[in-house]
Amino acid sequence: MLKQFPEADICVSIVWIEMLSSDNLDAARRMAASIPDRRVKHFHDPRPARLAGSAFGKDLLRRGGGPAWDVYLFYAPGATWEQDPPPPTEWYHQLGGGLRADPERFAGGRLNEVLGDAMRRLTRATSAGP
Amino acid sequence: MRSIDARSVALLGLLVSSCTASQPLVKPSPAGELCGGVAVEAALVVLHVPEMPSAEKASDVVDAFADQPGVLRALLDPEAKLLSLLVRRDAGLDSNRAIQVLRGAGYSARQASDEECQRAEAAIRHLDTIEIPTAPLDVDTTAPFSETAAIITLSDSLRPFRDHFNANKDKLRVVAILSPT
Repeated sequence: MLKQFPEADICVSIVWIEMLSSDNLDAARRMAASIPDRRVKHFHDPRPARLAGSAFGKDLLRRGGGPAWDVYLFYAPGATWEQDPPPPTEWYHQLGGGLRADPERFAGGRLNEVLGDAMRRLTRATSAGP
Repeated sequence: MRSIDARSVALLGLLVSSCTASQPLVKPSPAGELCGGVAVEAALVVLHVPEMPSAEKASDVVDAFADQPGVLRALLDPEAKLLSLLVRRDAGLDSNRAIQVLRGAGYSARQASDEECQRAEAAIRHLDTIEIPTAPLDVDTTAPFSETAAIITLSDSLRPFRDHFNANKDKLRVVAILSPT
């Protein structure tokens, strides 16, 4: 998505969350190094707390869904994070068929296409102004 | 981990040589705009700081920079009067008009700890600038050097993440939460 929109003035936060047993800070650093785009800021969300995953999971996932991960969230300009993260303008996930999250938001094998479409819509909307 | 050799220093360095000895070190002032608007990515910033009459000893100059947020290490070479600043990646020193170090300044052979990064990150929110009375120089834009990208661990607070999110409120923002493996 970043390569598709090299000139887009966007702010990307990637949170590397420890969900799998193989996830750790070193793995997060390696992945972060593989995405050196200047628009990206990397965060590491360690177990057991998984603060970011839990904070975003509260609204996005169904009850008992645990921390949010494998999610891609878009926020239009103006959205502010006060106590809790604001609801995303659009979002998609790779969490499967719907037990944990809204099945309408499941991107599945079309992730690149779905994210690209969202970017095109939202960057057009941003350029158009209020 | 790679180390920086002399050629790297030369290639990556930014040399400021026109400090006037009569002007004292200026106390930090509120953050201002970029000087010249030049985006530079450098692993190492090298400043040539002539002896300052207000500095009683060389370490005074080092100290003036060393306690600035985002500066991990400052080293003064008294012989050549070179002040080397090692600045963490994405330290947000956009407002430092004198040294023109912007996002992308990376680490050197020493990898900063997460605690250092988090302290620097928290302090950057209210970063003051150091103004050294000198004209901006042409700089070579070089590729950033880093074995690994900077990453902020959210071990006991989401604040760094939240602050970053809100600091870019005028942009379209994307958040991805992913397993690294």
